[in-house]
Amino acid sequence: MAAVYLIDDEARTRTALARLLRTLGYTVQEYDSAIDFLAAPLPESGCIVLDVHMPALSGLDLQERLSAQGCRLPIVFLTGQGDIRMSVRAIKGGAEDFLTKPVSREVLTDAIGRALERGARDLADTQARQARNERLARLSGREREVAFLLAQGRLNKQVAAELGTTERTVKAHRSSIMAKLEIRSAAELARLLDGAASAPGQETRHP
Amino acid sequence: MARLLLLAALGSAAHAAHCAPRVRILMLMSGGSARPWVTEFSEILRGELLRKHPHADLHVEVLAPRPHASRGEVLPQWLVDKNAGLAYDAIVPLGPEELAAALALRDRMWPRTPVVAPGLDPAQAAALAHVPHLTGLLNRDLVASNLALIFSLLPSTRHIAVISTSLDSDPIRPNWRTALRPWLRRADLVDLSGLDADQLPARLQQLPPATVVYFAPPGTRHASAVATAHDLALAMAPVAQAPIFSDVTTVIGSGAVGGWVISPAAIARDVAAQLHRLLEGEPSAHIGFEPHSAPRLQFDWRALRRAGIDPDALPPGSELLFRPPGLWEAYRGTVLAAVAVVLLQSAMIGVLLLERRRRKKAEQQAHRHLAELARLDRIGAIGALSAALAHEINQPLGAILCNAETAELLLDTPHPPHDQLRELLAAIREDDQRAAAVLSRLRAWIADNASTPQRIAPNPLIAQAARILHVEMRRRDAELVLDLADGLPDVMADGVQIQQVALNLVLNALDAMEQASTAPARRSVTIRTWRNGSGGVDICVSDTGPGLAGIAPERLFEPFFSTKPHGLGIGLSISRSIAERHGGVLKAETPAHGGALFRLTLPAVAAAAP
Repeated sequence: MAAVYLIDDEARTRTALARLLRTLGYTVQEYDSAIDFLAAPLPESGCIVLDVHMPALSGLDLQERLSAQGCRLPIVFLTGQGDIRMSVRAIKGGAEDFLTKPVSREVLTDAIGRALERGARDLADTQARQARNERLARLSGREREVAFLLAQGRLNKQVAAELGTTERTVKAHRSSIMAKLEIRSAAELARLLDGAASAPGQETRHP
Repeated sequence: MARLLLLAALGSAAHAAHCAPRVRILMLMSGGSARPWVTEFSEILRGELLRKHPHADLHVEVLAPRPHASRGEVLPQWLVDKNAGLAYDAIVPLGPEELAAALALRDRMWPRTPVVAPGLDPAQAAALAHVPHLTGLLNRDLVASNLALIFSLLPSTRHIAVISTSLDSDPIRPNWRTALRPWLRRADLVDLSGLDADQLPARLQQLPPATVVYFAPPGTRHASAVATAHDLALAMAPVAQAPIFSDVTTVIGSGAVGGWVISPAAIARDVAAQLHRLLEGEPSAHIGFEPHSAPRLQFDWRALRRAGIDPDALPPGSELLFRPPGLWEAYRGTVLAAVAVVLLQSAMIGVLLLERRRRKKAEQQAHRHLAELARLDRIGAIGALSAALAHEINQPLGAILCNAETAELLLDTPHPPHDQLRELLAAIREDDQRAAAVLSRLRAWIADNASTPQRIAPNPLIAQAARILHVEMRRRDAELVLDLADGLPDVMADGVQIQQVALNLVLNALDAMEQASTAPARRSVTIRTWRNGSGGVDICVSDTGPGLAGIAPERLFEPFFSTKPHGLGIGLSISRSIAERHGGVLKAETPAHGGALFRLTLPAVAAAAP
């Protein structure tokens, strides 16, 4: 079952939430401060339910730190009294939701559900991208250049002109690319390269 | 006839105008007459004359006392000689013998000059009815009246002693025997008439008990026996045990009780009245003989007391002489002054009491106003703490909601776990109590009660205020340090108001630290309590903020002075008023190590209290 990381310094609130979430079937991990959470190894999946107001390190600060560490766990914020400024900052930072306490079960489970869904999707995307990158890594530098141009719908002749080489060479690269990537058509190539970095070696962030 | 009257009128007018200064009256008296009596008489008569005739002249001739004078020697030759060539407008003889001389003199020298004779008895007057140019005044019978008075005032009288010239030949009181007769059935007569002044005192001392003396001084003559009525009375008074009644005013004051009396002044006024009428031309025949003025009832208050006579028992119209003035009469001024002082004092006391009441009322009003202002300030503080308060209430509410929903979920399972449900319900109850506690604290905080100061320990107050501030401190990322000294004395205080001061100071410190252009590394507010040098309690609130930023400390306490964009500027002003109402002081200081420090000094509860 999906894991929820519950970070709130208010023990009673945290306990109540944890009980509710567990009853709903989540695996709940409780932390009474952001520092504690950071101290433990970062989990790969699940979602974080985070109180905004905490001493020492606030929820928003934690969000920034996690982002800086490349952790892409979805976050549902909880706050006693949220203001617009705060919620905008949270959402811009990639928060799934910004909920005001007291929060009802439906609202909370919806938010957690969405967050987990997105987390799963992100995870799948990441895995797909990793697989593709692994395949792209099989190509040589020249082959990768040719592959990107072909994926953009250029003809062999055009590619040869652009790269300053002969059409025959391009053809040879093309059959090598098809063999290495285990594909048969340019359309497949385009689909594979869609969303990958336009420039070789560069990675784009998720939208 | 009309012309004749007119002439007469003119003549009399001219006569009056011309002769007015020359009104001359001749008064004849005997040498042995009682002097005070004559003195008073002649003084009054002269006065009465001068009142109407500014130049009247009262000429007095004294005839030598001659007890055995014969009729033939009625008119002494010296008198004739002395008055030769003189003229009088009227002659006033003071007694029967003088009357004879006056008539003789008049007949000899000025046949038309009127004679006015006072003190005639009716029988005498009847005998003189034929004499021309004679008018007179008739004695009233005072003897009968006085005897009746004596027996009515002193009914137990057994002896009545009479001092007079003679019971049978008293020239003024001819009816002694007749008047006495009815009373002699009740009392014996002791006749002391005709005794001389040497014999009298001895006789008076021998008087039996229940004796009343009737002292009838001789008239103008027959003074051989007693010197004067006055002297006699003075001589008698100390020796006589018996009350002395009399019919002459002159003896009142010399020991006599009094009685129906006629005064020389009254007789003189009667004489003067007749003289005026004669001088104005009224014929003497027209005037004739008239009774004297009515006698008066006069008593000597002191003699009455000696005689044991109740002044209240006296007949109506009695005059009381020599009555010692009462407190009121004697000390009227003093009494009035004393009363005035008392009244003024009472008024002053009243005014002061009123002032006191008004001052008290004003004080109470000021107290009420301060309490009301303080309450408004506390309500304002709730505004400042609203986020923290909302959080404090939201937390348990959120927990309750969570737990309730968890419980619902568990109930929907085929076998609801009782243990867990019970745990949830317990948690719900606890959270509910938590929320209720916050609300009741809030209610106490804004309660509209101008509570009377109570003996209270300062540290728990501060600790409680810190609890109120706890969430706010966390919310604003600041720490609150309590440094509370042990063994502090109690203070006399309205707890909520003292907490309010502490809370205002802490909130100010938070605002100051937040506003600071360079945020302090560590936001910290310290509340410190300790026993100050004068035995009271100091409560200090210090912060790590930018300090007073060059603002004069006293400016801070002015109403509506604020450095905050949305501050009203009444918090510190009210805090200081609260401090002062508690007999304390609130001051701002700038400590050497930076930040701001506010010091609330409260006096300790009087040491006498247990």
